[in-house]
Amino acid sequence: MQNNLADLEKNTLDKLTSINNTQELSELRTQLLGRNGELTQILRSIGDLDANERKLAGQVSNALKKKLEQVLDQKNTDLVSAQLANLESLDVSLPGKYKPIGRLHPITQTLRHILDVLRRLGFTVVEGPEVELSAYNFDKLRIPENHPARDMWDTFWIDKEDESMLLRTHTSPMQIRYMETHEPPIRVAVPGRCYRYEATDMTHEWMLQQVELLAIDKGISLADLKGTLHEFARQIFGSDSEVMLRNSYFPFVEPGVELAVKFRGKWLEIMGAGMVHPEIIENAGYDSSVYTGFAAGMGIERIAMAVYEVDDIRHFYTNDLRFLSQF
Amino acid sequence: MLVSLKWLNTYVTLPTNIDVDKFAETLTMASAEVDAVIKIGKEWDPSLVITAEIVAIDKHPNADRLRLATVNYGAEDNQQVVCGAPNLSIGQKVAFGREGSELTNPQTGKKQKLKANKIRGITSAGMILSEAELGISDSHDGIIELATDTPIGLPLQDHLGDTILDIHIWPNRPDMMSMIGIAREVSAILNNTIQHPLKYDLETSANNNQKIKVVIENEDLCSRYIATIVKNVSVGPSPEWLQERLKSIGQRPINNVVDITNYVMFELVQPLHAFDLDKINGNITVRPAHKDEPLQTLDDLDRTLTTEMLVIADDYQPIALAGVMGGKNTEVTESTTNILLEAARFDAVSVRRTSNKLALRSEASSRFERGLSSHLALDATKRAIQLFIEITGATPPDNYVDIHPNPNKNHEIQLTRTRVDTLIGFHISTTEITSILENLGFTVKSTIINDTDELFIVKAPWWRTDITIPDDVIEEIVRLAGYDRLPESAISGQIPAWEPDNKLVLREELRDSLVKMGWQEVITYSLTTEEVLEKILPSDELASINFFRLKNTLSSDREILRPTLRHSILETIERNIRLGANNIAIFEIASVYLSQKDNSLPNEKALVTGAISGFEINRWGQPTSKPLDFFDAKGTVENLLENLDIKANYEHSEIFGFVNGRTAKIVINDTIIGFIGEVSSETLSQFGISQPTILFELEVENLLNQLALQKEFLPISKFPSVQQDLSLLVPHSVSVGEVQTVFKNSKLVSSAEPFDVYTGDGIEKEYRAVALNINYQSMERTLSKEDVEKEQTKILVQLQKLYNIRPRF
Repeated sequence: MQNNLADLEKNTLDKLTSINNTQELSELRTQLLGRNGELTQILRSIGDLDANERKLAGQVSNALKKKLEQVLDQKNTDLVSAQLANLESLDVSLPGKYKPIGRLHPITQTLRHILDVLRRLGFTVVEGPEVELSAYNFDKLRIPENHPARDMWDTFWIDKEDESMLLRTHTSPMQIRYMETHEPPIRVAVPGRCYRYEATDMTHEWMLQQVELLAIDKGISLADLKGTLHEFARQIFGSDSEVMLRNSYFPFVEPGVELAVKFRGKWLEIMGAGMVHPEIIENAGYDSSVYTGFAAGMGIERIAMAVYEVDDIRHFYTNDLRFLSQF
Repeated sequence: MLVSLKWLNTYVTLPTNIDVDKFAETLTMASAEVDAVIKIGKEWDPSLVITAEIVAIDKHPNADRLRLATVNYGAEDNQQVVCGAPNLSIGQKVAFGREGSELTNPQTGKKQKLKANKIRGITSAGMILSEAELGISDSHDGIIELATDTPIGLPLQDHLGDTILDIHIWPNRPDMMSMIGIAREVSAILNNTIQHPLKYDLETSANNNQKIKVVIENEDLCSRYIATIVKNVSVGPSPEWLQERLKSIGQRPINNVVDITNYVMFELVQPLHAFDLDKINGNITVRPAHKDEPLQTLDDLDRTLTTEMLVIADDYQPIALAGVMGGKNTEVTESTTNILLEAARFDAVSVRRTSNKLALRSEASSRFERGLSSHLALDATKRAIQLFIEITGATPPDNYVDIHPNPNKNHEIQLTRTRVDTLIGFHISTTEITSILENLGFTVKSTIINDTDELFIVKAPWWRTDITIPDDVIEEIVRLAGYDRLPESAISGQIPAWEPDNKLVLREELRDSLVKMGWQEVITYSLTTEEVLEKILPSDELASINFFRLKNTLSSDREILRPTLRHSILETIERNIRLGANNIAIFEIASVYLSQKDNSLPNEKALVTGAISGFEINRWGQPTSKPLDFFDAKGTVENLLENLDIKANYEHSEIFGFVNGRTAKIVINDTIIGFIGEVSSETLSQFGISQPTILFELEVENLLNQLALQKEFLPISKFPSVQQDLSLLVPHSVSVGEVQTVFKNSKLVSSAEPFDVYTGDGIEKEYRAVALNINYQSMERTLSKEDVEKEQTKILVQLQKLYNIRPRF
C-alpha cells in the first residue's frame, strides 16, 4: 500500500513535467482523482483494511491526496499564466463582435424630453382619447358648429350619421375632460396623437403629436404663463434661449398668444397658449372670479425638426431605418 | 388678407423710410400675424427702370407681329425699341427698361440683365415692360399702362413700387378684413390719427316708401337691408388708380360698378352688391329659398337651393344668394344704366351654412360669416355712392331704403383693476389703460371704488363685435401695452396631488428594454384599409369588426382606424428591405381602436408589436445563411418580461397568418397577454417580404395587470446549493416546460433549466434527449448528498408516472 502510494506519487510528478496544457492536466486529474481515478480507488479500498492499518493508511493517503491536489493546482496556475504571457498579438483595429443597436424614435425622444421637463415643473402626465366626440374637440372649447374658427382645424370625421365623432385635431379636448373630473389646483400635461385633414408637404403631416398643458389655480396670471413656458424653453432649447409672446386667437383662451423661441438665431413658433377662457372655467363648475389658469399646446414634430435640424416632417413617419438610426 | 402699404398710407400716415420688416413684426406682436412681406420694385434700378411715353409707332420691316416704338424717357434723344405687345398706342405712358436693367425673364423666371439686341435686323436698346418682366405678376399678355398723367423719366419705383403684407386675420376679427380695420390697428399702435375716406352725404334720412320696396321675411337672418337706387351710371373700365389698387391686393378689375362695390368692401369690410335695376321685376324680398329653387350664380353655375338658404328675390325669382353671391339674372353689364345697391347684414351662421353647403366661398361670405356690425351698411352705402358719382357719372340719389329691425349695440363692460392685475400679472397704470383703449376707439370711464379697487366702465367701438367680456378688454390692454413688458413668474400655488401613471411608465420601460436589446422603435400611421387588413386578419374576424371608418379621406390608403399593428410592422419591414436593409428588428407601441358594445368611442388598446426579419448575424455583423426563428423573438420577449419580474408560459396556438407549430400564446396566470409566431410564407408574400420574419404582440394593459405593483423581496438562502446535470429521455408529446414544472414544484429545487435538446443517433425515435441543469437548495439547512438523491429519485418517479420520462445514462 505504501509502495503503491509512493509509485503513484512519483509517476504523477513525472507525468506532470511533460504536461504543457490545461487539457492534459485536467485529464491527469481525472485519472487520479476522478470517480474511477487511481487514488480514488486506493482511498475506497482503505475501508477493506484491518482497523489498526486503516488509520495510518487513511492518514497517509489523505496526505498524498492533499499534496497531489496542491501540485496539480499549482501546475494549472503556472500553465494559465504561461498561456496569458504568450498570447499572440491582435489587430486591434478590427471591429469588435457585432452587437445590434436599437434606438428610440426621434419623436419619442423629443416627447420624453418634453415630458421630463414638464414633470419637473410639477405637471402630471395624463392621456385622453384620440377618437373624440365633436362636443369635446369643438363645442365645449367654444368652437360651435358653423363658426369660422372651425376652419382653424381641418378635421377627419368618423363615418356616423351626424358629425358627432372625429379624430381629435388637438389635445385640447382633454382640458375639458380633465376639468370635468378634477378640482383645482390642476397642473397636467397631455401628450398624444392628433390628426389634421390636410395635404402633406415638407412642414405638414396629417398625423402629428401634441402636448397640451393646463394649469388652473387661484390667481394664475399671464406672467406665470410666460415664466413657466420660458423655463420650459430653457430646458428644451438651452439656458440662453429667449422667448417672445405674440398676440393670437384661440376660442378657448382669452387673452390668446403664440409663443416663439429664439433657437440658433431664428424665431420658431412652438406653441399656442393663453389664459383659459372664463366661460370654460365656469362650465367646469369652478368660480372664474377665483380661479384662473393657462393652457398651451405644442407640436412635437416642429420641435424635433428644430432640435435635430430635420428639413422635412414626412421623414418621421416614413420609418426609413437609415433615418431613424441617426438619432 | 393682402394689404398694400401704399394704399394703407392713405388712411394712416406711416413713418417715412419705414422699415417694413420691423413694421410687420410690430403688427404680428400686437395685432395679427404677418405671414409674408412682398416688396415690389425694390430691385428696380431707379436710373434704368423709368417712366416713359410712346411718341411714335412704326411697322417692323421684317416682322408682321413686331412693331417699332419710339419712346421718350425724358432724355434729349428718344429711343426706338422693338415691341411685340398688342396694346401699344401713341401717347401711352409706359414702364421703360433701359439697357443694363435687371429684369425677370418671363420664360425662365430668372433675373437677367437687359442687353441691346438686334431683333429681326433692328437694334432694340431697351424694352417696354410687362408685369412679368418687373416681377409683379405672371401676366405677360401686354405691357403695363401707366396713368395718363404720369410724368416721364422718373424712377418707376416711385410709381409702381409698393409693399404688400400678407396678414392672417383671426376668425374673431371681421373688422380687420379691411384697409380701414388694419389702419385702425396701426393707428392704435403708432398713436396716429386716421383719415377716413370721402363719403357722399345722403342728407335725407331713409325713406322706405320708394318705387322699390324691401321686405325682410326672417329678421333673425337679416338684421339690416339698405337698398339705394343709383341712376345713370356709365359702365366701363375703372380708372387706373382704382384698377391698380385692386390689382395690388390680387383682385381682378371687372368694370367700374363692380370694382367700386369690391373696392368699398376691401376698404370698409362691408360686402356690397350692385343689381341691374332694370332687370329686377317688382320689389325686393329677403326670404328663405323655396325647396329646389334654381339660381344661376355669377360664377355661371346653376345652383339648386334648399329652404335653409337665404335669398334676395324679386316678385318672380331669386336674384342673389344672400351674403354669398349675386345672381346672373340681374348682373351688371356694359349696357346697364341704373343699379340697385345692396348693403345688408346677414346672419353669420346662415351665410356660413349656405356657403359650406354649396362649397361656394366668396370674399363676401368670408366676411359675413364672422359676424359684421350692422352699423357698417350705411357707412359703406355712402362711400360707394361717393365713388359712383365720381367715377361712373351717376346721378346723386336723393334717398334710400333702410330696413333695420335689429340694430346691434355694444354694451358697457365693467372691468375691475383687480381682474386686470390678476390676469396679466403686473400693473399697468390707469392712464396707460385709458389711452390704449381710447386709441382703439373704446370709451373708458374709470372710478376708484374703494381703497383697493378701481372700476373701468368700458364700451367697445361699434366695429368691434368680438368684445363681450372683461377679459376681452384685458387682451386689448395687454397686447398694446406689449407682451415683452410682461414679467416672468412661477405658479405660486400648492402642487396638485400626484396621480399614478403606471401605464405610461410601463410603456416607457418596454421601449427602453427593447431598444437595449437592439430593436429599433418605429411610429406608423393609425389609419389603414380593409384590403391591407385582409392580409393579416381572417375574413370572419374582419367581417365581425365594427370598424371606425372615416367620412372624409385624404387618400384611399387611409380609410379606417387600425384594429391591429401587425400590418404596420410588416409594411415597414417590406419598405426597409426595398430600401436596402437586410436584417431588421423593429417595434411599435401604439393604440389600436376597437369598437365597444354601445356605439360609443372606441376602446383604445395599447399594444407592443415587434418583428425580426432576416438571418442570424455573424461576428462581423453580416447575415449568415441561418434563418432567424421563433426562439430569436422568444428570447427578446422573455428578456422583456424578465425585466418586469414576470415569468410566462408559452403554449401552442393557431393564429391566422402564422405558422402552426411555430406560434405560441404567452400566458401569465391563465391570462393571455400576447403571442409570438413565425409569419407564414403566404402572408409574407402578400406583404412582399421574402425572408423569415417572426412577430410578437403584447397587450400593455394585460401586462400591467400582471405586474406586482411592489416587487416582493425574496430572502437569499444562507445554505450552499447542489448542482446536478441530468439527461432525460422525453417523449415528443411532452414539452420541456412541463418537465421543468415538475422539478419546480419541488421545495428543494431552486431552478431547473434546459441546456441541450437532442434527437438523432442513439436516441429512440419517440424521444428527445433533454439535458437539464438542476439546482437543489434549501432555505433551512445544508442539503446532504442523500437529501438530493432522495429528492431526485422522487421527481424521476413522478416524471416516469406522469409522462413516461426516464433518465438517460
